[in-house]
Amino acid sequence: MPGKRITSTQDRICWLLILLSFIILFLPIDFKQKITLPIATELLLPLHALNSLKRTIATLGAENRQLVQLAAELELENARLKSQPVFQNLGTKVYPILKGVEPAVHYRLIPAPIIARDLTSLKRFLTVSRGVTDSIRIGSVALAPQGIVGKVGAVSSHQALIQTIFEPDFRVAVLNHRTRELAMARPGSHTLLALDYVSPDADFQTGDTIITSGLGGIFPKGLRLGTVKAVSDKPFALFQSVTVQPFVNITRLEQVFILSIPAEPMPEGWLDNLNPEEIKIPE
Amino acid sequence: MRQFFAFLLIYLLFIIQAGILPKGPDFVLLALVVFALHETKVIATFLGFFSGLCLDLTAPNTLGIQMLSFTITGYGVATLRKLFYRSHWQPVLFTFITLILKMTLLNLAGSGFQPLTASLVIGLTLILSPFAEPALIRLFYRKDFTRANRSAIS
Repeated sequence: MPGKRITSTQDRICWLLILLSFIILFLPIDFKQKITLPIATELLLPLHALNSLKRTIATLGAENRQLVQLAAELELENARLKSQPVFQNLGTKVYPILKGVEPAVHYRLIPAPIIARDLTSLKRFLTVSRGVTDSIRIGSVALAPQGIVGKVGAVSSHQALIQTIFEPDFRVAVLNHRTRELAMARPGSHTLLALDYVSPDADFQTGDTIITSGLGGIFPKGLRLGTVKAVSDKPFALFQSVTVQPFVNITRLEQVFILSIPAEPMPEGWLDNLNPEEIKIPE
Repeated sequence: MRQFFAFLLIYLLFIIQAGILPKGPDFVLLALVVFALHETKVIATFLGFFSGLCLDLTAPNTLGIQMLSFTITGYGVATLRKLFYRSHWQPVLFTFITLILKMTLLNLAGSGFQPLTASLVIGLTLILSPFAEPALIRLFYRKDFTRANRSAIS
C-alpha cells in the first residue's frame, strides 16, 4: 500500500535520528568535545554575545557605584578645602594655608542604601540599611555627592533613621561662601530652604553658595547646602528673608553616605568643631 | 517555509532560555511539544534533535542527554497525538512526561542539578504549557486549523 510505505519511511528516518542521539550519548567525552567544537562556535555565537553584554552591564554597575563613592569623598575633601577663609587684600584674593598643621583626616564614608521613606512627603525622613554595627551613631551626618542630606536621628543595630533638611525641626548653622556671613537654615516651602537671622546689612545675592559653618558641633565646616534663590527687599524688616535652593534632590536619592568619625577627641584639624564641648558660652 | 520559521523560533527560544533565564521555564520544550502536535513526524523529530543539540552544546560533558530526550519527545508526541482527539490537556501531559524523562536522564548522568531548581523549572513550564499552544497556533497556523485536519497530515 503506498500510504503505508510513506509512513514506514518516515518512521525509519525518525528512528535513525533517535539511534544517532543514543550513539552520541555513549561516545567518549573528549571525542564529543572535538566534534561539537566547530558546531558550538557557530551556534553559540549569539549566546556568547549576550553573556558578554551581561558582563559589561554588571561591570558598569560596579564602576558606577565606585564612582559615586569617589564623588562623595571628593565632595567631602572639597568641603574641607573650602572651609579655609577667603581674604581680600588690596584687590587680590589671598588664600591662607594653615601652617605647620596637617589636617588630620579621621572620617570614613559609609554607603547606606535607602530602604524606606516617610509617607507624607517622601523626603522628611529616610531609613537606611546601616546601623550601629557599621559604626553609625546618632548625630552622624548624611551626605550625597551634591551636598548634605541631613543627620542621623535614631539608630538600631542594622538600620538608621535620617532626619533630612526638609524635616520641620531641622536646623543648621550656615554661612555664605562668598561673604562669610552667618545665618541659620531651616525648611521653607515645599522644595526650598529659608535662612533666618540674616542681618539687614548682610550681603546675600542670588547665586551665592551656602555652606555649613561648623558651629553647633554636628556638621563639619564647608559642606555644601544650596544656592541663594531669592533675597527679599524689605527695608524696615528686622532680618532679611533669604530662600535657598538645596543642591540635593532628596526624592531622587537611592543611596546616601554617612560620615563616620571616632568618638574620642581628635587633634586639630578640619573636624575639630565636632569634638565634645569643653567650655560653655555664657548665656 | 513554516518549518524554517519553526526551527528559527526554537533557536531564538534557546538563546533566551540559555542566556537570560537559565533557571526559568523550558521554552524550547514548550515550543517543541506544540510543533510536534501540528507537524509531521519527520519535522517533529528533526525539531527535537535540533533543540536537544542546541541545549547540549551549552554542556558538552552531557552531550546526548537532551538530544535523546527531545528527539524521543518529538517523535513520541507526533505519533501519540492521534490517541487523544481534541484534548486541551495534551500539551500539559506531554510536557510533563518529557520533563520527567529529561530530569531522569540528567540525574542518571550525574549532572548534579538541584532538586529545588528542577522543581521550579518543572512547575513554571507546566504553568505555561496550556498557554503555549494557543499562542503558537495564532503565530504559525491559521485560526480555522483544527485537530481533525492535522490527523490527515500524519
